[in-house]
Amino acid sequence: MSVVIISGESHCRREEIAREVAEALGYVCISREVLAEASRRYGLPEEKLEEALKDSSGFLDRLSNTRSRHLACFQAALTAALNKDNVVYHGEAGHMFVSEVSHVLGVRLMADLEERVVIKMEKEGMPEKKARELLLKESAQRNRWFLSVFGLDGMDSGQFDLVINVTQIGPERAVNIIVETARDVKFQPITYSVKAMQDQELASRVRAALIDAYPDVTVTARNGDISIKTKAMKKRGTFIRDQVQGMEGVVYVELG
Amino acid sequence: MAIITISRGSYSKGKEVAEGVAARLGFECISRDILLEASDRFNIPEMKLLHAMHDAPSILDKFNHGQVAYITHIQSALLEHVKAGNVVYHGLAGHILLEEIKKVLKVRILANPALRVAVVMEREQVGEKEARRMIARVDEERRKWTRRLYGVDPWDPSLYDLVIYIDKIKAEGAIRLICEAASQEAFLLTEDDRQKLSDLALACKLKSELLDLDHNVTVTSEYGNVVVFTKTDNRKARKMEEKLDSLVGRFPELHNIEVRVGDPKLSVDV
Repeated sequence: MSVVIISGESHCRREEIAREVAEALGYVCISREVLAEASRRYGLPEEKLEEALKDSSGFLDRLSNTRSRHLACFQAALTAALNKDNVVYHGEAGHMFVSEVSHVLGVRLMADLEERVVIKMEKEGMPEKKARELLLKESAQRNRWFLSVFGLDGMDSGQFDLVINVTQIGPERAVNIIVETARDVKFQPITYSVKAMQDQELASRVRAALIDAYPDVTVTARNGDISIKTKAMKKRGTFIRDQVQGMEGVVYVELG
Repeated sequence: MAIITISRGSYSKGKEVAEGVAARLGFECISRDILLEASDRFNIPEMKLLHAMHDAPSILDKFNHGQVAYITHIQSALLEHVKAGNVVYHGLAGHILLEEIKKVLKVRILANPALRVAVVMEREQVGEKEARRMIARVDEERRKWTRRLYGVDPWDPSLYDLVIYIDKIKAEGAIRLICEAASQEAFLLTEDDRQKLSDLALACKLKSELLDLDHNVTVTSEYGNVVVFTKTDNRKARKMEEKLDSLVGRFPELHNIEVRVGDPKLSVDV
């Protein structure tokens, strides 16, 4: 009854493994559905949301905070999906949007470059040289994106509970390892961790609602009590409070 | 029949995990024993060997090749131990020292920083600030050491088959997962693998013996047929041959030895 978040490089059998883990655990497996839901909720084009999960330049952000806004909306949709429990999510950096929730198992999948090249060649029908170049370019871009969004090295294993090299361990054994770990008592939801997840969902939803008008806004939630910080507080404090107070799940609003 | 290396951050419960895995699988568990054996065999004080394995290389070391020689001795002793399989090695750089052997299950154990601090405080009887400082210093030394000798960062997950973060996953859970991974066919040694290991161990042992004549010597072995490549002159090559002749009786697995002057990459038989 936990949540499994699987991230991984492209062409490392992430989707296949995520689906088999979900099947073995009897969980729902989601990925692009989160983008579709964010798009539906906030009226943003799906491709723009996807772009925000890849754009490492930060250029658009400096002009109009577009990337931050899109990422906030994505986070709101993701935390809403994970709040339902019994979910396997696979996608880039999902673990970074949900922190301090003990029943979330964070897994990163890797594979040797040679294996990834072969998979890409077969799947996309391209020559070896091009496949290799594209994969290396993609990895470098992902690292830049990770650093620019989270200020962290995306390769740092400390962000995950498990890192598995699929080439050596094999997809089948990787599934077994993930399933066994997810069933461990430490990854079962407890009252505290369920509340932590609900608070993350609420804070993300409130931030997504405010970020368009207040790009610097930060939101924290604790048992439904919301704390909001933005430079615009002096002029717009009352307005913000009224806007947030009416949102589902909000108990009390504190302006910082 | 498998070989497992467990690379561990200091104070990360890696030793406990390694011993647990070895006990469950009925494997031999080795670490510091390797150092003792290497220091005994090559007449090197153990502390000097430990220093070479642990501390970041000084500027001086860049010129005297001392560390490279010591690492070869360690690698030789390690290969001698693991070549029969059924071994868990935990300690410095096992995954790098055995890099050439694809069937080694390479595991990295990390731990939540708060957990590491608590372990240091209890074990070393120091305050939190001092514990954090000690951990940062040891991590940095290990990082520098691995980067300097092998040009890789020990924190790079692509060096390992499995990385386990000890926090929500406890030591007992980690033991179970490693045993599960090791039980698959991909890590079971075949007769061919054992031959390759035996050849690698032989090449490494001979290299250890020849380092004082040429610290850049390359030694290869296939089915006990050894080729030594040296970039030094013919006089040094003759000395090597003499030394190797005197060693033949010590290595029953050795069939034939050739010494060639030149670059191994340019010396391919045609």
